[in-house]
Parts: sequence; C-alpha cells; structure tokens
Amino acid sequence: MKKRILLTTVAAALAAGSATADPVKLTVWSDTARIEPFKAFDAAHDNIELDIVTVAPPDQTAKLQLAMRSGDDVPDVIFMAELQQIAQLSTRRSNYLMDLSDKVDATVVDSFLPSSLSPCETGDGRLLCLRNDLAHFITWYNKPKFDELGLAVPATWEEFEKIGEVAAQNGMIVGTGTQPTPVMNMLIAGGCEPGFLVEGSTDTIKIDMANDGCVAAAGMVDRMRANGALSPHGPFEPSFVTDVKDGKLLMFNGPTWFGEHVMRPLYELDGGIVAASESLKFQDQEQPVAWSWGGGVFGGYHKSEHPDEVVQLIEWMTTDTGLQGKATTMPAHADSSAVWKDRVASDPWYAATDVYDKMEASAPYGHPSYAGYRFDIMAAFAKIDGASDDSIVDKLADYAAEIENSAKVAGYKIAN
Amino acid sequence: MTQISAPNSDPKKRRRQDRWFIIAMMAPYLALLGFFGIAPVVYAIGLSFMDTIDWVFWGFTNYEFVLNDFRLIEAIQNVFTYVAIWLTMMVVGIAGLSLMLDALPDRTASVLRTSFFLPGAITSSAIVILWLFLLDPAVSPYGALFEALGWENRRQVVSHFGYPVVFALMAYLAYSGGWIVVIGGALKGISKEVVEAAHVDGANQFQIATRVKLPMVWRSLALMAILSFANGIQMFVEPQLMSLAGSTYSRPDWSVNQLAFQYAFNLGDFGASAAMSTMLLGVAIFISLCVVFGTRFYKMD
Repeated sequence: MKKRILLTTVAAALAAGSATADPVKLTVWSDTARIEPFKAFDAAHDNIELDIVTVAPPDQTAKLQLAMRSGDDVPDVIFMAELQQIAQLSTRRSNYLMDLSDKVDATVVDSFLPSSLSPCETGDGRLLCLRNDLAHFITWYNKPKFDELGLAVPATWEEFEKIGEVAAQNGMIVGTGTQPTPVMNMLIAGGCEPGFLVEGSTDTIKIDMANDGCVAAAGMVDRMRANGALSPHGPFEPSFVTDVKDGKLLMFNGPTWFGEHVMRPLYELDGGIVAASESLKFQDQEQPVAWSWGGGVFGGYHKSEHPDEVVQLIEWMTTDTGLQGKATTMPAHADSSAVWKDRVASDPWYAATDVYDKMEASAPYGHPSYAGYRFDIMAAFAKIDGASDDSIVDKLADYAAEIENSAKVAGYKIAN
Repeated sequence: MTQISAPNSDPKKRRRQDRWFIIAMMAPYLALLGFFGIAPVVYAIGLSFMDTIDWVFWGFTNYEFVLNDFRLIEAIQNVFTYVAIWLTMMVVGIAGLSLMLDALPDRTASVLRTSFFLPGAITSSAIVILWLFLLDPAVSPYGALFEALGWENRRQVVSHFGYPVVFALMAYLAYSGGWIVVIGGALKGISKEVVEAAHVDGANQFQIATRVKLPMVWRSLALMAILSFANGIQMFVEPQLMSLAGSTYSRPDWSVNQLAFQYAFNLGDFGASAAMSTMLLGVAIFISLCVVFGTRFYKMD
C-alpha cells in the first residue's frame, strides 16, 4: 500500500511536470449520451486530449473486433451501454478490457454505491470496468390519475395486476407486454432464472424457467397482455408514445433513467405528473427482486500506451460529482448520487420530492446476477415470444431451451 | 503471285497473336479476380483450419464447432424457405409481368416498365426501413387490413407473415424492377416475323406468350434465377437491419451469413467464421453448377 502511494505521488509529480509538454492523446468510443461528458473531461484536463468517436452501442463489439484484428485505431477507453460487452470483450478470442483491480485505489472502489460494481467484478477477482449509472427497475406512476381514480400506490405485483384491471377498464395502460427487458423484469422478479452464473464460477450457468414463482409471474403477464393493461407496443414505438401523449399511461415499471431519459424528453409529460415508488414484490416474497436495464460502464484497453491516463479518464467520468450530478441517469458513485438527489428533489417537474429516495431504497433489491453474459437473454426472449401468439407460460420451456443452446455456443457449461 | 501476301497469312502465327490479344483483354479482369476473388477465398480456406489466436493448425475443429451450432439448421431452414418463396415470386412474377408488358403497345409498356423499375431504385437497406413502417399497423397504409385480421401491432404482423415472407416481399420489390427491364429487352430481341407467323397460324396472345415468346427467353429467366439464388442464400442485410426496429425484432442469427458474421465479430472467432463462409461458398458453387449443367445453360441452339 505504501508503495502504491509513493508511486502515485511520483506519477502525480511527473504528470504535473509534464503539464506543459505535449498532451497525451487518447481515443475514446462513446454513445451519443456520453459525448458531452467526454468533452467536459477534455476541457478540464490540459495533459490529455481526447479524440471522441461516436459508435452505436449494438455495433461496438463488432467494430472493436475489427479494430483489434487490424491493430489500428483501437480506442483507449470505451463506454459500454450494453453489459454483455463486458463479457464479450474479456475472452481469449476478444481480449480488450484492462484489469483495473491493481490500478484503481480501494478508496475509489468503495466510493460507489453498494453492489453497483458487481457487473464489473469477475469470479477470479478482476475489475474490468467502473459503473456510470444504476438502472434497476422501480415503479413510475401518474400521480394525478392515481388520485383521480382513488388508487393506492402498489407495493406488490398482485396489487399491480388489480390496478391493471382498473386501467384496462378506463382505457389506460400500465406498461408494455412486448419489450423484452420490462417483461423479463416481471419474470425474473417472480423467480425465473434465465441463465445466471453459479456462485463462484466463471463459466457455469443455471437455468430454471419452471419453478412455481416463475410460472406465476408469466401467468400474470399473460393475463395483463390479454386484458390490454400491458400495451402490445414497446415503450419507444410511435403507437405507445401516442397513447402516452393521449394521457393513457397510468404507471410503468421502468428503470431509474425512465423519468429523465424517456418520460420527460420523449413523452413530453407536463410537470406535476410523474412520481415514483419502490420496486414491486410478490406477496410471498420477503423483499422485491429488481432486474436492471442498462446502467452502462466505462472500460479501458489493456494494451493502451497510456494506462495511467486511461484510468484517470475512467475514474473522472464515473466519479466527478460536478459531471455525474448533472447526468440524466442515477449515478453509481455515492457522492455524485447525493448531488443528483438534490437536483431531482428540487425539480418541480416531478409530482413528488421523494423520487430519488425511492430509487435509493430500491437499489439493494437489484438482482445480484445482473451482469454481462456472452449470450443475450433478451434476444432469446424476443425470438421465442415473436414466434407465435401462444401464452408466455406455454413458451417458458422453449425459452429455457433457447437460452441453454445460446449459452453452450458461447462456451458456458450448464449446471443441473 | 507470291507478292500479294497479307501481313498474317501464316495461320499459326495469327492464332498466336490472337491469343496474346485475348490475354491482354482479359488481364484486368484476371487481376481483379485474383486479388478480390481467389485470394480472399484461399485465405479464408486457410483460416478455417487454424486457431486464429495462437495461429496453430486445428484440423477440422472449426468445422465441428460450426456444424454443432444449434442455430445452423434453423438458419438453413430460414434461408431456404426464403429463397424458395422469393425465387417463385421472381420467376412467376417477372415472367408474367414482362410477357404482359410485351403484348401492350410500346408507349404504354415503357411507362409501366419505368414505374415497375422505380421501387428497384431504392437499395435493399432502405427498403427494410420502408417496410418497418409498412408492417406497423399504426402507420401503415394497410393498417385497416391488419386490424381487420386482428393483428394489432408490428410484432403480430411480422409473426403472422413470418420472416421468410416479409424478407421475400422486401427483396421482390427491390430486385424485380431491374429484371423486368432485362427480360423486356430479351423479349424485344425476338423477331417480329416469328410472332406474326404465329398470329397468322391462329395463335391468340396467351398462346404466343407461353408457346412462342417464353421458350425464347427462358435462358434469361434461368440466368435471373441463378443469380438470385446465389444472392438469396447469402442474404444478410435484411435480417440484420431488422434490429433497427428495436430489440423485439432483432434477429442477429437468422441467416447463415449472419452466423458467420456473429462468429467473427461477436465471439471474435475468425476461424469458425471462415469455416462457415467456406461451406456456404461451396454450396453456392455446387448448386449453381448443377443448374448450369442440368439445364445445359451454355449450349447454343
């Protein structure tokens, strides 16, 4: 530890001494939402100059493979909006990510909210990234409509289903029945295990789509799809947006960024409508289980010529309170989250001042297995669900088989 | 007598000169074929027997991996269903439309031909975007029809049609116009006397089209079928771009070529990708040769 402090001091001294020298050039790949933060870093640091390249998140793995293959233009730092990329980019065949465990101080690691770094931690003790934001599912609801209909905010999925019935009778919706991630959140909340790493293992996964809780959750989704409470459209599709603008959205089980990133800019909801509540649980559960949607991470290239600057950049992007406090997403960094909280609490757009508190209270319910896998459970769900109009309950076995096959192709073993 | 000798009276010398001329004419093509056709294929075949990380010889490991992939059978079924539907639409649709156009007065025919060609001016990637709208009941001009059938969202429309039909429709719109022009050209080449003779012999328009004109342009239709087949089994763009409509429609492993792409750019396994591509090329060449020799395509009448 002493040695590290000494090294850090020397490095800092060197960095200070070379401030007047030519700045170090780093290439970064960013999604559109992270361009401004990268620019802010560039402006705040004289010793580092950034070359920012915009890459669409789904294309990133393919483009990196090509870049690493040719050896040219491999970025020093990337933003991974899709957590599968953590797993995809740390294999023998596509070895991109730098192990940060001996480069980031323990104090920095501890400054993140509990368990927010778990997607970055591997079974063998490496740290492959730092987390930008937390994106667990909470409950968003339309407060004026709830008051108008005399409804109580639900705490369980059973209450949620009843509210769905009321919504359907009034021509309203309480979510989406087709977008894979929100539907999967309901299934996983019930107890479905669509391929989670067995504890302590790096390559063995367990699949269980037949337990009672899982089947019950699937049954609930089926009933709510049938009565129209869950929209047949995804939340970004024009039909859904039109419905919302017509005042038909009563509630939505969505990720923490759903307010700032979707309901405000896309749905253009007026102030005083949106409020939030904690993640839901089934009656027989002690506490909720919440899946997440996104919650991106920053990672570096293990062959970068400037590893110190790479670490400096990743740390700043994830822990600078000035930057993270203004983000549209809930910061994973604790101090930044406190700044973010003050902003959200004082924002008159929300119909309640406790939106952040509900997010924070729900954070511990985040599913411990939410991490990057080299297979895509959402793509598997989309494929099986899109194949026919059968109920989800009837398709659970097909879904399990599809995940098992994809996992095997990706090199995982299946535990029984 | 011997004074009037032409410069190349010696037939042997002349043939040799001809040969050099032919080689000179073909050289640019051969160079391109070598660089961009044969070299990559040889490289891919070599790669398919290697582990591309440690660069060791792997024998048939890559082929085994690919052939054991559960998605392969599904992808082959998908692609062949699509090709069967699309080729039928192409052959029947284009032969029918071209023959009908040929029976019309010239001016009307050329206006119609141009209008058929117009959708073909949009590239297949843009066609996908267009179709994503056509298939969404909320914005499609056929929305009322879809709703009458009880298909309330795009997911249901797509799943009731099935992906092969959707892609076949897309590809038909993209490619049919160009081929209608080509087959129209072939029909124009048929001598007027033959058609008039048939008319005098009492043949009606339908008989002229099916008994006289069709047998004379079948070779152009066969060429279209071969090219479309080769094109079809390598389909990639249409299913790949479905992801633009959101994760609900994303099918990254629908076609065989997509699998090859997935191996290389998702798993980083270029050896497996090369093995898949090599096999796909083998199948395409084999089936094309079968069609060419089976129909004695190059035989002159």
